[in-house]
Amino acid sequence: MVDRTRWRRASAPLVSGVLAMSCVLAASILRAEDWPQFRGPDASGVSRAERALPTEFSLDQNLVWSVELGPGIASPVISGERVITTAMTGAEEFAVVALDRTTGRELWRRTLATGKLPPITLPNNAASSTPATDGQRVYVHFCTLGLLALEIETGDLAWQLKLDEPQYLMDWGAAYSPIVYENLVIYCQDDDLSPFIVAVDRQSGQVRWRTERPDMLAGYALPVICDVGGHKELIVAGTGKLKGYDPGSGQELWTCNTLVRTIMTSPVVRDGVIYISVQSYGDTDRVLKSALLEWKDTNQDKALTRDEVPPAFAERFAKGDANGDGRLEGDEIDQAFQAPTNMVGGGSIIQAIRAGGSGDVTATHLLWNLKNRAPSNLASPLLVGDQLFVVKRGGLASSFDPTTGDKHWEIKRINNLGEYYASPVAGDGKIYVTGENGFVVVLAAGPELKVLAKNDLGGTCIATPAIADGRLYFRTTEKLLCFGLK
Amino acid sequence: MRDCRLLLAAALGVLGYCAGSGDGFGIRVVAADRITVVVGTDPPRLERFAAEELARQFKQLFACEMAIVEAGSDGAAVDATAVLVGNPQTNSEVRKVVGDAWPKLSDQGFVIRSIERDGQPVLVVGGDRPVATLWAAYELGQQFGVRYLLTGDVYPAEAPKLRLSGFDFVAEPELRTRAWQAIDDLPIGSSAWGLDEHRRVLGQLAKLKFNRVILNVYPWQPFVDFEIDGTRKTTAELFYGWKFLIDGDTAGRAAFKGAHEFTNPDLAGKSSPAERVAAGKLLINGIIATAHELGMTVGLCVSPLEFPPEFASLLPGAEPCGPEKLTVGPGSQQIPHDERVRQPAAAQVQAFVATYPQIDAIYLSPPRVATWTGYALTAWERMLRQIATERRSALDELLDRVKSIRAGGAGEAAVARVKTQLAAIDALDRLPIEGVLERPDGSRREAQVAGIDPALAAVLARIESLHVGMLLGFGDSAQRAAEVEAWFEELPDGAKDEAAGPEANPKCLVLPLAADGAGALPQTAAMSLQKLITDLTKHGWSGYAVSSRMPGDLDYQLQFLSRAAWKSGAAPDAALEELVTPMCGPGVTARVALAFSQLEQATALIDEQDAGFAAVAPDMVIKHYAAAEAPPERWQKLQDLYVVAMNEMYRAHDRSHPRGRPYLRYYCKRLEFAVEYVGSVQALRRAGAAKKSADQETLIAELEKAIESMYNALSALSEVARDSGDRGAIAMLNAWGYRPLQQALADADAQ
Repeated sequence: MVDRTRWRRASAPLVSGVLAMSCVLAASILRAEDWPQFRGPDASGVSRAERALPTEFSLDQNLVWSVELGPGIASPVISGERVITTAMTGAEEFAVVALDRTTGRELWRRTLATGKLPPITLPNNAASSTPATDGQRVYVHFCTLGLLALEIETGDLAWQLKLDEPQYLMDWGAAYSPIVYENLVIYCQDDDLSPFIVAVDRQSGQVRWRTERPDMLAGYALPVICDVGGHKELIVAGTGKLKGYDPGSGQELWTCNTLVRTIMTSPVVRDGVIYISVQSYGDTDRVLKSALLEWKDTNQDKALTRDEVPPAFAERFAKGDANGDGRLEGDEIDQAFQAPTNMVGGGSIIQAIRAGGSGDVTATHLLWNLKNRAPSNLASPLLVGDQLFVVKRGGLASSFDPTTGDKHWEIKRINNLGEYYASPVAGDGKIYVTGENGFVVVLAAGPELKVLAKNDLGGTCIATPAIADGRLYFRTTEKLLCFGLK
Repeated sequence: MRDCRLLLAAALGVLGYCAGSGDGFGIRVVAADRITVVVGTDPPRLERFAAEELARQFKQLFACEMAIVEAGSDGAAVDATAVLVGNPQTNSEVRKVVGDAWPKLSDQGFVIRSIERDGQPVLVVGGDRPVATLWAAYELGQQFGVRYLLTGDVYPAEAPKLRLSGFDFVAEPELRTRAWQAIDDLPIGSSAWGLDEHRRVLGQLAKLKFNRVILNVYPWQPFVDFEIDGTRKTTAELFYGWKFLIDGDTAGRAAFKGAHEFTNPDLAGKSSPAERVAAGKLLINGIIATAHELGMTVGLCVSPLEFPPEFASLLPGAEPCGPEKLTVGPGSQQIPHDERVRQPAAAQVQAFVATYPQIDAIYLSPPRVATWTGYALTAWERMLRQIATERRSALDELLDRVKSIRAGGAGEAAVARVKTQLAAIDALDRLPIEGVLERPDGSRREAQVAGIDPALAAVLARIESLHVGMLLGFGDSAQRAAEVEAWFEELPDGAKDEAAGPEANPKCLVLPLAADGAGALPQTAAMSLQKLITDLTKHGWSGYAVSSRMPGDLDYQLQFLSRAAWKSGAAPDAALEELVTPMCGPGVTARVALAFSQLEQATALIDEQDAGFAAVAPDMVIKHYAAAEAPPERWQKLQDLYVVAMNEMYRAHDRSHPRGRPYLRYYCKRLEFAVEYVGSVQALRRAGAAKKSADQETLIAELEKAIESMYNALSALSEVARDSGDRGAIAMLNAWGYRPLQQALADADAQ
C-alpha cells in the first residue's frame, strides 16, 4: 500500500524536477488492492491481496454500507478512495457515480442525457459497460455517447469520443467495457455490423489506432492483456477466432480459429496461456443463418425480408440479395451477415490456447479443448490457483486442471438455482459465485467442491462483483453493497 | 408527435377526399390544433366523465389542445372542430344539430354520428343514458385504434388521422348483461387484488362496455361480521387462512420486491379479525363505489347456508368441511325449513345487505360442499308440486342424467351436488328475506339464484310462478360448457321483445375463461366462447358473467366477448386482428393467432384428458410424485404445444412495434412458465416411478430436474408479474410446488 503522505513530503524539494514524471507515475500507480476494471487489474477476477474476506454476509451481517443507485448492471471499480459505477437514472439519463469506498458516501455524480435509446434485450441494461480507471480518470462506454473520460476527482468530463452506435441483428444491446493499458484506453466493439477495436490516448481522447474486425459477429468478450515472455499481447475472443494483437499498434499478430459462433464470456490469462469457456446456441452446423431463420424470420417463410432485419443492416441486406428479389434465402443470408471466412456454428467449449506466435496458429497453439456441457454462455471462467472454474445456469459448477483440462469435478450443483450472468470472482481462498436471484454461494477454492455458505443480497444481481482490500462489492440491479469483516 | 399547427383554413382547403360513407359527405381528415368537446349544461356526472375521457384520448392520439365546454357557453357555439357529447335531452347542442333524427335507442344503445353544422362536420357521441354515452366515447377511442387491455390502454403504433366525418354508428347490445366476477377464495386472480388494482381493472372493463360486477364472497372471509343467537362471527380469513411466506429461497422472488409474506395488499399487516374485517369492508365498498361510478351495477353472490365453524353449534348435525374446515353447513338430514336453518341463513343475508346497502342484486348460491344429501327426495317432491303434472319427472331420472354429463362433473360427486342443491333451493325458497330486497330509495334489488346445476335449473324453469334470474354455469371450462348444447334447448329462451320490458327471469351464463383444472397455466378457449355466444344470443339469454383465475391472460378473450356482445356473428379471429394490429403493426397477428391456436389446443388437451392436471390445491404438484408412474405421452404433446406457442409469440414480439411488445412479452413468459411447469411435472412423475422401483439415482436426478424446472417456471412468471394476482400465483406455487419438491429431494437424499 502506498503511503501517500510520506510520498508527498519526500518529493516536495524535487517537485519541479520530477513533477512531470511523478504525474505519469501517479497516473499509473494504483493502490495495491484496487480493482480498476472488469474483473480486476488483470481481468482475472482474482484478488491477490492477503486480506480476509467474509464467508457469510447479508443485509444483516457484515454489511459495511449499502447505497441505492437505480437500474444498472455494470460492475463497480475501485481506485484509491473511490468506488465508481454507473446507473440509468432516468429514461434517457445515464449517470457515473463515485462513492467513498469506506463509507459509501456519494462523492460526485455525473449525469448525461443519452437521447433515444436503441432496443435492448433483457436482462441487458443500457448502463452495462463497466468503467476502467487509471487512478486519474474513469473511462466508460455508453451506446449513444461513445467513450467517455471523466476526471476521477470531480467527475468532470475530460473528453468524449463518439463512436458508431453498435448494431445487432437480435437487438441484444451494447455491453462493452474498456480497459486501460499504459497510455491507452482500449475498447473492443464486436457488433453485427462493423466490429472493431480502437485504442484511444487516455490523456487527449485521440484515436491512436483502430483495427477493423470484419469477420466477427456480435460478441462481448473483454480484451485482455497477456504477458508473453516479457512482451504484451492484446487478446480478443470473438466469433470463431481468438486473436492476439500488438496493443501498441493494433496490428493482428496471430489467430487461433477454434472458437464457436457467439462469444459472450471473457478469457482469462496466466503465464502466456489463455483460457476460454463458451456456450453458444446450437451445434456446430448451426451457423448464424439458422438462428436468424428461427428468430428473425417472423413470418416463417424461410426467408428474410427487409422488414425482418433492423434498418441499419440495409446495405448488408442488399449485398446479400444476389438475385435482387427483396428476400434473402439460403446462402444469401450467409453472404449478407456472416463472413465467408468465418462460417462457424454453435457449441460448447473450454480451451487453453498458448499466446504468442504469428499468423494462423490454429494447428499449433491449442493446448487442450473440451467439448462438454459445463460452460455458461455469459459467466466467464475463473482461473484461481490450480483450478479453472466455471458455473452455468441452474447453479451447475465444474472445475478443471488448467494444465491438462482434466476435470476435478463436473456439473455439480452448488445449491442455488436460476440464471448466472455475473462471472465468479475469488479471494482469500474462496470463490464467490453470484446468481441472478441475488444469492452468492461461497466455495472453498481448490480441487474439491466444498460449499462454505450461501448468502442473500436481497435483490437481483447481474453484475460481476469486485474485490478490493478485504471488501466485497456487489452491484444488484438497484443498489451497491459493500461487505467486509469488521 | 403530430404537428397540428397547420392553419385551419389551409387544412380545410387542402385535405383530400378519401372515401364517402354514411350521410353523403366524405371522410375528411381534419388538422386542428384545438378541439372542443361540448357537454350539456350541468350534465350528468358520467356524461362529463365521458367528455373528459374522450378529450384525454384525443389529446394523446392527435396531440391537440382540448377544451371541454358546456352547451350554451361562449365556446360551444362557433368552434368548427367540435365533438358533442350527450343526447338531445342532456345537451342542447346535440338537440340543435340532430333535431328529430336522434335514433330510438334502448337504455344501453348509443350513437356516434357525423353531422354537418354550418358546413363543417361535428361529431355526436352519446346514448340515452349516461353510461351509454360513456360507452360511445370509448367506442370512438376504439375506432381510432386505442386498445383497452386489463393492464391499461395501448395507443396505436401508427398515429391515426383525426376525422370527425364519416361516422354513422348506432350500437345496441345483443347481450344486455356483460358481467365480471371478482373476489373468490384462492390467492391467484382478483382475490389477491387491493382496491387500486380492482379500480384499474374496472376502469378498463368499462371501456369494454362491461356493465355488471358480481362479487363472490364467502362467510369465512373478512367481508362481513354478524352475530346470531349470541354467537359472534370471528373467522375472517382470506385464502382459507393459508399463509404464503416469501423467504430467501423463493423462486421468482424478484416479483415481491423485498416483501416477506404475500397477501392482499389491503389486508397486509391486519393481524386481528376485527382489523381484517374493517379492511375487507373497505375493499368491497370501494369496489362497489368504483363500479357505480363507472355506470355498472353490482351483485353480491353469497352462500347463506354455509357458515364459519364457530356457528356449528347452531346447525344440528353440521360438520366442518371444505379447505381448512372453514365451512359448516346443514347436516345431511337437516330439514331445510327448520327455523334453525332459516334464521341463521336469513341473518347472514341481512348482514351482507346491511353491510353493503348499495348493491343492486343479491345472488344466492347453494353450499359448495355437497354434504346436504339426505333431504333431496322431499325437496324434490315439494318442488314437483309447483310444476304442471305433465311436465314432472322422477328424481332418479334427473340424477342419472347429471351423473353422465361431463360438463357438470360426472359421477357420484355430481349426484351429491345436485342433492345438496335441492335441499338448498328448498331452504332458500323459504328464507324470510323479502325485506332485504327493498332498497332505501324504494326500488327493488334483483334476486337471482346462482350456482345451480343446469339440469336442476331446467326443472326450476318449469315452475311458472318462479320469477327469479339465474346465473348458471354449464361446466368449469368454456369447452365443457360449449359441449352441452342441450341445456339451451331445455331451458326457456329469454324474452326478446323489448316492448315486454326487462326479462322477468333473466338467465346469465357463467363463462369460465380459464378451466380450474389448468390452474395457473395460460389458457384460451376462444372457439368455445364463440359457440357459447352464438347460443346465448340465439336463445335470448341475458348475457354472460366471466370468471378467471389469471385475469392477465384475458385480453384476447375479453376483446372478443366485448365485440360479440354488440355484434352478431363476431368472430374470434377478427377480434384478435382488431386487438393486435393497431398495437403491434402489420404482420404480427398471424404469429399471435398461431400461438393462440396452439394454446387453445393445449387447453383442450388438459380439459379433455387431464381435468385436474394443475388444479389449485395444496397437493397440486406433489400429487404427481405420489402417482408413482411415468408421465403419459400426451404430456409431451402438451409441452410441445406450449413450446410452439411460445416460439410464435417470441416471433410476434420480435416483429412488433415497441408499443405492442409488453403485451406480447407477457405471453412469451407465461408460455415459458407453462413449458417449464409441464417439464417439472413430467420429471416429478419419473421421480415417483423411480422411487417406486427403488432406483435412487434416477429418483434424485429427476427430482433435481423437477425442482429446477419449477424454479425456472416461477422465474419466468416473475419477470412479467403485473399485479397481486400474479404474485399470488408465484407465492402459491412456491408453497405448493417448489418447496414440497425440495422437501421431497431432501427426504430422498436422506435415504
